[in-house]
Amino acid sequence: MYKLLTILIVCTLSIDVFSRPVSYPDGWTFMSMNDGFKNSTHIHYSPSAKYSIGYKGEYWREDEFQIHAIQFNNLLKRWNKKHSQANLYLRSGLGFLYSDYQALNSKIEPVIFTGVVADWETRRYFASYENRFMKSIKIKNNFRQKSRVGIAPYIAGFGKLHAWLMLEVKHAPGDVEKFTVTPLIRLFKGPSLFETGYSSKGFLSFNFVYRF
Amino acid sequence: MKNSFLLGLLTLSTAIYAQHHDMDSMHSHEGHIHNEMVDGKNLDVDAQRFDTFMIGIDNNTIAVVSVQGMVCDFCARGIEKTFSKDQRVSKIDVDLASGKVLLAFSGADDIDSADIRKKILNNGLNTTDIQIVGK
Repeated sequence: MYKLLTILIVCTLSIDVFSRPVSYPDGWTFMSMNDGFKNSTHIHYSPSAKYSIGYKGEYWREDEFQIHAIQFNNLLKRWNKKHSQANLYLRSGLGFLYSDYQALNSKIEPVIFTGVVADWETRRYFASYENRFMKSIKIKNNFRQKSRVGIAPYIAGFGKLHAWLMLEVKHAPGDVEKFTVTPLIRLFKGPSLFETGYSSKGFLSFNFVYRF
Repeated sequence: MKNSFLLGLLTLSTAIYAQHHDMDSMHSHEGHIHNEMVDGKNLDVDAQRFDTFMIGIDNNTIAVVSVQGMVCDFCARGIEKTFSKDQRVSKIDVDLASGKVLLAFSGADDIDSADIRKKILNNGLNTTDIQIVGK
């Protein structure tokens, strides 16, 4: 059991994050995402419900570069309704990019990135959108965006096992194949969230979030 | 003859069940705190959930907090974490379905509604109503 758990954690280490870039006050969050393009890890601390600060690490497998950055997440606006909540966040990062791809030979450059995250959810439905502009000096500049919709097959109470069926569409204008569609299943209970999917390009994805 | 007997038995058992059910209903609600009026309004809670919450904390003062935007487990977890740090709070119940948070205060004569609202707001959610019952 411990071996399986260890393998699972190792597999999901180094992943990117989706919604909720800010936690509750004094809350820590560990997030990781692993898909066909990259592995990334984000660990952040939220001094308040309005912002968080943390480390962001990414490894882009095909282009063979890494990003190590300090990331700031700000809740710009929240709409609380009786049966729904919507949020608008700004995410920004500053760090360095390292690549040993072909002639780059262990080159290091500063990198900055920024983007918005918007989400809306009820206990039954979920929708989100996020984008990111990234700029380094020469190695890599890109823009990516993605959107998700989801539905909960059943409504679970507080502390119970929650399940969501989701569909994610990623758009990368700089890539040869610009769109990737991934159906996912998300499960969470207590502080832990796990999700997995299989993309239209034939890649598995594993995402893991732990809040404490 | 046989049909008449069965019909009579069915009628009798229905009547007995109905009477028993009425007595059960009276018993389950009689003297329970969820029937209280607060500021001229009925206490706005799920009766069964409230009764379950009250087990073992009869002498506590209860704050029934209505929260807007509490639609996911993660949001609710922040509220639970915040109030669990308050030593005056002896028990917490979060009901995502109704958007209610029940807080039991042991030995608290003066529940500070403004403090509750502030803590909820600090978690990024809005309080729409607080009803204080008990003691």
